[in-house]
Amino acid sequence: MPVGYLQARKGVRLQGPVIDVIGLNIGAAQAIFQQSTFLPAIVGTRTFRIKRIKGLNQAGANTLIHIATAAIGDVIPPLQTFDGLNFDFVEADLPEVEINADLLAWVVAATVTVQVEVEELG
Amino acid sequence: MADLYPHKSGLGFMEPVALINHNVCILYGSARHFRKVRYLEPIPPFQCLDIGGIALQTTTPRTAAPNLDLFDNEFGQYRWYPIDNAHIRLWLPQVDGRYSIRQFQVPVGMEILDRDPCLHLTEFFVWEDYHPWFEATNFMDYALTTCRIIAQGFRYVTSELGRSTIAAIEAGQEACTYVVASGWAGLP
Repeated sequence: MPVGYLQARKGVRLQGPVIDVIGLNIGAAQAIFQQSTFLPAIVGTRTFRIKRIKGLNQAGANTLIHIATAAIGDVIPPLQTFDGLNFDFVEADLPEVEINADLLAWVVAATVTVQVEVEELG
Repeated sequence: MADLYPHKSGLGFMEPVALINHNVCILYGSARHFRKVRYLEPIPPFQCLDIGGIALQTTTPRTAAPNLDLFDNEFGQYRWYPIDNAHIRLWLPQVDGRYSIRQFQVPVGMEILDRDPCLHLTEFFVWEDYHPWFEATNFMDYALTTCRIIAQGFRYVTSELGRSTIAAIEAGQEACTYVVASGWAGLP
């Protein structure tokens, strides 16, 4: 694998908690993974990339889930989820976006239960 | 003399720092223990310490690792890594931080397995029961329920060298491998 290729920068694989996303706009978005920012212990903050998003649409209708940060808004295109079904977007489905803030989610119709796996760098 | 030395960085896994009948000098603080290796055996990777749960953004007290103790006249050569997402600092003895540079005591985290897969630069030595202490920081915004450390290496049984051999070593006439078994705060 050539040096400089993003995947060569292996990080530590972690998972966020299971979150029932009910926020209906970016202002009400909920943290699905919180960035490591404890400066007395680490040099700078740690960034991370999303490696998997697993969830369940319990909204009673098909709906979109937005993956966002407070400063930027959506960091990847919104994901369409289908009523009553699990969804599972894995590494190959997701762009190599590096995130440098708490990762948030909001939905067009509540509730969507979601959990992310990330790879933390730093 | 075999091609052996501390932190050896050839491609591959861990090698002993000395073989049977080799001379070694274990440096512990200002003490120097000149010894001859009589026996050695490997210590396969094992969980030597669980510091326990750590609240988010918290540092634990220094925690002793007596599971790395050896009998009298023995020393150990260890490499290690954590399997929980904390930054861990090594102290040997309790007041001397290892991997220290002027502004910083370098911690070891789970990423060491990607950056130094054979763990060469985590290597440290333990003389008898002067075991190390580990201090873990959970830098995440999430609590850790465990903080486990895996160690592996070699155990060496030694005997004391005679004065004439020590004099020959110090005169550079006989080979000896020096191994550091404690930290050093630096010259004042």
